[in-house]
Amino acid sequence: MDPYAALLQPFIEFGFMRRALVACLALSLGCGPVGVLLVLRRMSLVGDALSHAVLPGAAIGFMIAGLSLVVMSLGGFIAGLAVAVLSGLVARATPQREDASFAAFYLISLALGVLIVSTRGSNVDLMHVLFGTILAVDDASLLLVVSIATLTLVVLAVIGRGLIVECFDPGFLRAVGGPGAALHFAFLMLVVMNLVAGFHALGTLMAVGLMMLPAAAARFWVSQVTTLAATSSTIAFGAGYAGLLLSYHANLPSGPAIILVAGGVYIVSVVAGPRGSLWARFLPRRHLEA
Amino acid sequence: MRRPIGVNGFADEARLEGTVSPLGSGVVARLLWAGGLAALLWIAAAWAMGWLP
Repeated sequence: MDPYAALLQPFIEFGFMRRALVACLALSLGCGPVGVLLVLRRMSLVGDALSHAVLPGAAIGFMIAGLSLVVMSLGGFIAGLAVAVLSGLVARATPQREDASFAAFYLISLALGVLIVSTRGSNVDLMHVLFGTILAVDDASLLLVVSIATLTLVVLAVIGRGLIVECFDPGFLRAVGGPGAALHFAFLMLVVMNLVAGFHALGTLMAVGLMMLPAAAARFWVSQVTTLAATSSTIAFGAGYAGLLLSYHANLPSGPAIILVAGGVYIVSVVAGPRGSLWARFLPRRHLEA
Repeated sequence: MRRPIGVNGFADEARLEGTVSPLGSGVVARLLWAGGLAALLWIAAAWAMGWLP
């Protein structure tokens, strides 16, 4: 096949492919750095829990206004933040750890969301909310995703250093009078915002995929935080581009194709990355000589 | 004489050794990076939505 036809033509010829590609770019720029910070803070599963927590809010938005972009996004944002705050409150007011309270609240949210969509909508609506349709991203959705990515970049530029310090040495941040709790809450807001953006493209079940898989894979290639964020965004965009092409040429569903490509990159990184991979760990290396 | 930047002038030394980006590493530099990336993203979005000629 002609390389132009294989690699570029779908994006030149079809508007929906162009919008899907730029949505992937926006998600990569927003989710890449946020995913790296989630991994560094050992909150990977919290990201997953929050992605499910978005569902009841989006479902209530769907119940009120149908498939309205603004109402569903706002509902998802409020529900995600509510679960984050409630989980934090339970963890601070009781002996239960935060991961357990997150798991409890996200399961309640997921069940509630599926119940609401199932009772008021059709199976098609439920599939749309759960798995998303990146090829159906219209101008309004694209503007929302791009705006969220822009806001994420600007907020990270302002509070990024504090977030990184809090990842590695929260005691130091407290000692110098840094606003640890405020930074943590701002970070949770960023996570929920990006999950709402991902939800429109990939659905609530896979929205976290472009956030966590590239960030986890990047850890096997580079070590500095800024290069981790850049590598994570690059892997996410590469997975989006390759997944869209795979979906176009092989007639596969686009969301799972994108996440599976990102998963493939993760597995290759675990096996062959230069930093801490199986290859680096078990390959016999030459001893240093004088 | 210029005042040293950072703890004991560490940032100055790092910049001399080339370990800090030419833009620096402060909030203004980070905002410039973020703004540049966001501008590219908006141009791509305008292309995708058919707003560019």
